[in-house]
Amino acid sequence: MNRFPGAFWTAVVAGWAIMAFGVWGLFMDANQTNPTSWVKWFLGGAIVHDLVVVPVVLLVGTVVARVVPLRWRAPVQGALISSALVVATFAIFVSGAGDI
Amino acid sequence: MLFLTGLISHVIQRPVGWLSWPSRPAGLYRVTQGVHVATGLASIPLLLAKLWVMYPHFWTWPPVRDIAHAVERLSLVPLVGGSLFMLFTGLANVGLWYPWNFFFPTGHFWGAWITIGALVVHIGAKLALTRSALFGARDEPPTSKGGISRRSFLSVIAGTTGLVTLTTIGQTIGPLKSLGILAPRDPTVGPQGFPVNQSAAEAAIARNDVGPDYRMEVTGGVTNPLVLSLEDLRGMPQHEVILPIACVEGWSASVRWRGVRVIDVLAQAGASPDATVTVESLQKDGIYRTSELNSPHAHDSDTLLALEANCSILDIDHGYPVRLIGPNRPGVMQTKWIAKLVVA
Repeated sequence: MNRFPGAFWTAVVAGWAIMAFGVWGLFMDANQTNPTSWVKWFLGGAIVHDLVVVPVVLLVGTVVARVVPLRWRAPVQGALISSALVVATFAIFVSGAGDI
Repeated sequence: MLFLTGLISHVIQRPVGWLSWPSRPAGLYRVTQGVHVATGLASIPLLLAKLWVMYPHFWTWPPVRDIAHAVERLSLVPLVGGSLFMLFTGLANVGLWYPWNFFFPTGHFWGAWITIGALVVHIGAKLALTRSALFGARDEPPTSKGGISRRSFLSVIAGTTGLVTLTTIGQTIGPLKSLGILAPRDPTVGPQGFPVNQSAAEAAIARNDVGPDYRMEVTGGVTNPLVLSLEDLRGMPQHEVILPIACVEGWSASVRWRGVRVIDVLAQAGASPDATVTVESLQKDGIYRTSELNSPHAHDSDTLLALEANCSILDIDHGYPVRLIGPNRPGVMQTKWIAKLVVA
């Protein structure tokens, strides 16, 4: 396997120790962190990304690949990628969701 | 970088015994927090692109080859969950949107430890791969099937990241203000020409609280406790200083302040030369109703009880009648509507 075993297991021990410290802190400060809500948002992000966002992007990508003529395909893909990322970054600010 | 600048901001706001955050250089916090928010914003397109490129590996078969591979993949849960969590909560906080049921700074802080731990494992797992990618033989680039090429994809991501940074950095770097068309804050908009995060109404400060009966007390470890009216404060020597107000949400603005030096008030009250001070607001509740002035901050000659900003009397939303302003402090620790200085 493409891996340096010594470095890998050292990083595993160090990394999991740091993560354990984080989990400890999360529960130490439970009155502020509200671990139930926190875990929901922590795992929720990954689940929503992997099972909702990516499939939607795949679907759009498939449609673009089928519908857009070859010579226009790359620019259309580039424009869609860039626009989607800008919207993802700024949607919260412009949607009026927050109190800003 | 995000972890370090975040840690700095955390330690200033929740001091630890072994570290006394200095009051100089005056604009240091403006830089560290500006970098924190700008890096976070730039990381959003980068992270989403990275996750997109890696997504096929999510369906790797068999899912686990050996113990090391299992540990590596398990560590991806806190890495992916944590990265998305940190950027989403940070972004929402900049937008002052709180759809969750935890206190943002604490949840974001402990999330950072979990994410950075997962990143350490990931770096350890990918060392050999990174080395061979950097120094080994180049793979032939995959032939494109007519869509966007690898090189163009990377250019689009780099360009978008640059665009996000250029259109927001103006909220903290004055000369780039005109480019800040997507910045959440314009640092020149607000009463007296700079923004307000918490207004008097939001802090439940009524006009009566700051009327003619207003008094500021200096109590605690002093030989001569003081009760000062606004007129008393105006009668003391006034000092003028230009200091930034630098918000944890990433915007900052330089403001010309005028008021009474905290050291002059401490001297009049007979506080000890190494005194620390708790500054209390008229605000009845809220986690930011008080702030600490550690010894370097309390005794910095630029730490003021400000009565004026940009050459006019403080607006009530900026903390009329008296607010704290000191060098190298987060905006949330520049306490407004001061009721009391408690010396220790």
